[in-house]
Amino acid sequence: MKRLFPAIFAVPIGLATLVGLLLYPPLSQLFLQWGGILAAFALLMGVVNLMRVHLQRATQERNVFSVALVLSMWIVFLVSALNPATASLIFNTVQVPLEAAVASLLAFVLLAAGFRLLQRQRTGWMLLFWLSALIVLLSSVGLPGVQEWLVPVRQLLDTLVVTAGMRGVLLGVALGSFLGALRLLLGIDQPYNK
Amino acid sequence: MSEIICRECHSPNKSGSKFCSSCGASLKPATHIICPNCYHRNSLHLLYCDNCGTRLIKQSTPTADAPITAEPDEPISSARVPFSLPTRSPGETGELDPDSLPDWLKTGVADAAHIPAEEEDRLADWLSDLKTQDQPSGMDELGEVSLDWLQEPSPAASPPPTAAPLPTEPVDDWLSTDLNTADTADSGFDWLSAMGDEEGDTAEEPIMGATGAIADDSDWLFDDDGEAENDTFVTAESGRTGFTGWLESKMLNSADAPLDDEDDFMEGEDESDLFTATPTPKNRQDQDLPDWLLGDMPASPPPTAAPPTPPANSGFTGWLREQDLMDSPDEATAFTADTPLDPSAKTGFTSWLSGQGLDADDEETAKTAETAANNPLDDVDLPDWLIPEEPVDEASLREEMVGTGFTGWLDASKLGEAENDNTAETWEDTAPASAGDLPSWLDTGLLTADVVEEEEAEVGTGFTGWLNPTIVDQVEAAVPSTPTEEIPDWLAAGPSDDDEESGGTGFTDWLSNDKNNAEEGDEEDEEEFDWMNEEPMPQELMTPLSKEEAHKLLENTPDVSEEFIKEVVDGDFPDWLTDVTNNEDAVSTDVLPAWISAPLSTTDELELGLRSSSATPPPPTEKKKSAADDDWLTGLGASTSPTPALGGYTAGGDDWLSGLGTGTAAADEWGDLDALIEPTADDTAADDWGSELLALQEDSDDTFPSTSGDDSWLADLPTDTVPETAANDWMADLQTGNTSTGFTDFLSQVPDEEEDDEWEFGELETRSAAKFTSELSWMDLDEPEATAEPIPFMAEPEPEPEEAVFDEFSYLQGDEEPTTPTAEEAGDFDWLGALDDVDLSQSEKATAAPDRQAWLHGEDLEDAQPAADEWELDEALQATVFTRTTRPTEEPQSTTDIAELVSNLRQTGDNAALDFEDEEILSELEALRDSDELDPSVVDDYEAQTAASQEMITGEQSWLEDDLLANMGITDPTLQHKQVGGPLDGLVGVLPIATLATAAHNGTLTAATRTLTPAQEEQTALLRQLSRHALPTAEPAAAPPAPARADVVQILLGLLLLAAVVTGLLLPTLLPTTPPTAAPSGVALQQGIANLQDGTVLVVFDYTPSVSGELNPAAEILLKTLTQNNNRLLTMTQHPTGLLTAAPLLNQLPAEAVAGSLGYVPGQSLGLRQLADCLQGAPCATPAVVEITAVLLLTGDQTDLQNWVEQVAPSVPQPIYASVTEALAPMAEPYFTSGQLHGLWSGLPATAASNPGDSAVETMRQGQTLARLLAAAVFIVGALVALLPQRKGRVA
Repeated sequence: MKRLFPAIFAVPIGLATLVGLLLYPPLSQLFLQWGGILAAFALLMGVVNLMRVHLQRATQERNVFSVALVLSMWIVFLVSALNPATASLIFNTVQVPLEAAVASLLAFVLLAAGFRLLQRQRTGWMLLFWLSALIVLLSSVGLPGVQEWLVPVRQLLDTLVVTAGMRGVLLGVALGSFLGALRLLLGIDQPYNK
Repeated sequence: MSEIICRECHSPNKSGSKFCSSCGASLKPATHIICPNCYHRNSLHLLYCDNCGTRLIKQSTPTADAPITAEPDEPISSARVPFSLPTRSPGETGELDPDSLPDWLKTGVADAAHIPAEEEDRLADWLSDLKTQDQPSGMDELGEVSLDWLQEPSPAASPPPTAAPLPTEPVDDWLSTDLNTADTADSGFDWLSAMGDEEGDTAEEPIMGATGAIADDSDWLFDDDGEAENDTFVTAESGRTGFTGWLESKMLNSADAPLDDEDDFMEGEDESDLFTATPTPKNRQDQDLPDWLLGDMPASPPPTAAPPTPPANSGFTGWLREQDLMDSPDEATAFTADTPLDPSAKTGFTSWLSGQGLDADDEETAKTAETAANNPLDDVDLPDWLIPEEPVDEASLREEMVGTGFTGWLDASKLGEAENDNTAETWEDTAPASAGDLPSWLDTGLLTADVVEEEEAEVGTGFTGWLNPTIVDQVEAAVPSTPTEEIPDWLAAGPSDDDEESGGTGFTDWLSNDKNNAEEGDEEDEEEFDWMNEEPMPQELMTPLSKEEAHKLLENTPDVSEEFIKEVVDGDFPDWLTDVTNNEDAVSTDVLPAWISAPLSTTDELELGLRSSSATPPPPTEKKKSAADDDWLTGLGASTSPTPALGGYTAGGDDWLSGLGTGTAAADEWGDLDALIEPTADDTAADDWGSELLALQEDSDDTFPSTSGDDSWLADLPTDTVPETAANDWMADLQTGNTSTGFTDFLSQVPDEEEDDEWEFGELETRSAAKFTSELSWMDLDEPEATAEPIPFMAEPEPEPEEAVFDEFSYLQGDEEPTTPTAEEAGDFDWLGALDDVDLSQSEKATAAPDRQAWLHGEDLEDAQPAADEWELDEALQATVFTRTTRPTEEPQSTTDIAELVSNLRQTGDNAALDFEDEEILSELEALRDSDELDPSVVDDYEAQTAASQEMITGEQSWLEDDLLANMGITDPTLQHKQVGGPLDGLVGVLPIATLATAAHNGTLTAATRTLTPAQEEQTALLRQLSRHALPTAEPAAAPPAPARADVVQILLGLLLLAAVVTGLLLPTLLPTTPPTAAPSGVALQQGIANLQDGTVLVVFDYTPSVSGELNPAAEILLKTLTQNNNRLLTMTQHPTGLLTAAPLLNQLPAEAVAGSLGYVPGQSLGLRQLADCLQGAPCATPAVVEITAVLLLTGDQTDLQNWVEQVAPSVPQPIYASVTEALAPMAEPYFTSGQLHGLWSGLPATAASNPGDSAVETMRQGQTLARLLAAAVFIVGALVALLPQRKGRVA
């Protein structure tokens, strides 16, 4: 009964939303609005829970990072409530550089990984990967003498290989989503019970 | 501090890291173990690969495939050493190498110290018994599994080789069982376990009293040699002891029943089957039963002849009845259930006899029926000797016969009543009357027998004496054989020698062979016993001893002083020995009776010093006969009469069965019974039975006590190996008549077989000692002085004060309140309790001179008011030891009190001979005198510890640890009482024998649930071992040091990359590059944005600062273009930081360009779906939504792009343009190709291609160009480096 009770609500509402999307959009919109509200409330609850967990870790386990998180959260919350411009300043001076700096590390990581690419695995697929990466890199540079014959190759790869592959991925995602929705509507999957 | 070794580069990482700091590989714990051999993915809990069986985790060295997750901050202990399972092939159940097994695996117990001692002993005993017993069927399936490590010295599996005579076996077993008190429960458990599977084994009878221990001695019972069947009365199959058991064993043996194979019997052959098989005539015939047993039994005994319920099958009568009625249990049931409780009904043996003849058509019996028209025995096919000659006064007969004499004693109704607590009062009411109104036929031999004639009557030496071969031989010599086949020779020979004379005798008369007919007896009856006149038995015992003889006799007796020998020679005996018949020089060791301590010859006979508890011992002159031919069983019948019973026993008259045959009871009860007994030539039923007994005796002489014509088998009763206390207890019981031992007692207490389930030994506790005494009062029929004056206890039984009578077996009867054994008898002296609870005054101490053997001498038994000093002391000690008192712990113990108490105890100890332990304790107490006052907490702690230790020893249930018994598995309230008295004194958890015997199939001992086969034991041990070791989820692999070259390369690569980026930014024209051409998607985006005029464009900032460097140039260009076309911007985001990231861009725009902001739209696709509805015209909170003409999506996230394309693009008419990162280009291009996106910019190159005139974008592209060239160069160099080792390998 504990597992059946949520399914009793989830399955009919899911079916109603589906039917509403096809036949009566206001019904689906109603449920979608409810869902948006619940999602916003869930986000709020997530924030509260995040603060609670780290506050517990900060007080009980003396975790410095949790202390920093809790303090930052409260400071930004108070500053944003009092002066939104200051909040943007904090964001642009702290968050944006940090995230950008971390993201820039990706270039170094990729460079090091490319160096060891064939040292790790010397397979044909790895060789194709290595060759594709090399072609994309060189084609985007626009070096004279190379650009002329590399750009058609890259376009060929993009339209033939990459697009075909991504379409296949997207089709697979769509089919997966369809089956996933079907399982949810039939109550076979009950993520709300996990 | 632990580290996590990267699986990729083997570099150490800080604990808790999710990615390798060296190579960036994920460090999350592996969820599977990859087999190094077949690369099969195995679960973490597996030690061996499921696919190929390869060991997955090495014991010492780490493997690259194994999960490398170090245990944080936990040293590697020995317990976590990888465990290697013993390798055994499937199905192999052979013994493991003991040396390779840890101790706990051998024992199956991780820590034996945590097991209570009792539990451990019980387990050990159980295991030993399991070993010694016949292996159950389940054991055979285990193959040859050695249990030597479980084996313990098995107890003696056979009765004493020298003894095992017919009547001694119960007593011997009783003693042996009492000596092996620790084995009682265990052996009982064995017995239960062996018998418990038998449902409805109604034939199981518990053996009470002395014989009760036989049921416990499972080893002896279940011994494979099967000698027990021949050497003892007890039949292992039925559990019966004594006479019936002997009879049954003989029956079974003679019938060649397949009971010799006890294995078959033990393997579940129902006892009841064995016995129910016997009643059929054919079976009975096969078993060579007497004719009178094989005769047709009454189909439905009349109610008048039926004994009151429940006696149908109790005792001897019950056994007899069983033999006949088992084939018709309904009849038996009706016999007992439908029969009204008529006090006038003939009960016991008599009733059986009456029922025997109900269906008969004997003419002679019919004749006698005329004289007793109302007698139910009229139509009985009774022998003539059972037919009354004269009309019987039924009133007197009812009054006098019921519950008296042999038949009354065998009256199962009383037994049943005694077994029933509800009817205990009834029994108590009737017992004194019956005891007092002893039928004259019983006391005639006692009251009226002439002394001279009694001396001549030597043959009637009791039942056992009758069984004595010598006497039997004499009987056989005296009686001629009878030509009648129906009459056994031996029986017919006696009376038929002179039918006229013996015609008046019957079974009992014949048995008695007693010539001690009363004076007022019928002359005819007297003549009937002429054939029984025989030579008196030689009297060889209790002749005065000379000093040399005494020395010789007592040389092997310990603790015999010269004074004692002098006493022996001088005849200064204890009172109880002076009562011995014709034994003026009886030997008394003052420790044990002579028959115990002194070696007895084969001709030694001893009359037990049974007497009443009267304070005045009888004069020796009252003895009439020597004890040469006295049956020791007669002593069991000693009552509490003040009459000097012992001396009154005569050789010929003291036999309890011989008293039955006294023919002097013409005018009394015996006369009444005698009137019923009319000897005829046809009445051979009893004779046949007797002949069977004789035949059995002749066939197996070793079964009988001795062939020397005496009761030398008595020497085998309590031997010198018997502890003093046990012997004393036994003797005390004999004296008090409250015995629970012996043949007679067994007979008196054998329950109804139909009531096996209800039969409880403890029910007998309702019988007081007086009841037992009165019940056995018929044994005093030979008292000679009764003629002068009525036997007091018979006339009016004295209410014997139970306090003065030790009932050492009360603990067997479940008597919770023990009598008054002294602390010395109890074996433990509660000095601590004495400190607190006992206030022994000085006067009491002075008078407290406990004579440990006084009670053995009967002193305390004789005194109704035990005024002896030791009695008071015993009371005090009794209260000390056995009385649990709650004492206020708040009261401090002063040293003064302690000193006083110690002094008291010292003085007491001088008299009581405190042992070393007591002295040691007292010494410790004396040391406490130094301080003025003890700390109460110390005293309390010490008391608690002492009490706990004492409780551990004695098993007494503690008020401190009430759950001790529960921990021991003793949940039965009846088992939680400490045994008082006897060898089991002080022990707890002793199963009452009755419960043990009757509840065989209900045995709930925990040990029964612990029956594990060796294979199971082994599996359990392995599981324990596995559970003790943690799963090898992580191996602290000693990671190889990361190669220094990798670090250098990484640093070098990082530096090169940084230099390239900086150089490109600083020197954008360093490399001559060709600008990229715009892709169709880029052109479409550029054209689409350019075409938007004076509208509202929804700009979605779904990117984070991490990709802002790549998207911001495109966003800036697009926003500028839109603003230039007079479009108003409506912003939103699905990332919390999206708008903040875009804030710098928006701030560059004119304020009027921004129409508003939808803010953060949660819900991912759900929010987008709602937005799409709004775009379609649905009412929304922001009215500007409806004015949106196009959507510009700036995102670097695949999901966001997908959600927009899937949730919004299909349903809205507005075009969607997207500017994504270059990484997202492969995914976004198909959407553009499919028309779901109307324009697309993918990364900075596409932006630059679409905006060739934008210098900022071009500069950034140039800066990236140098970095891209560096990356391509690194890829190539890396590949070349990867090829180098291969070249070296080829060269090698």
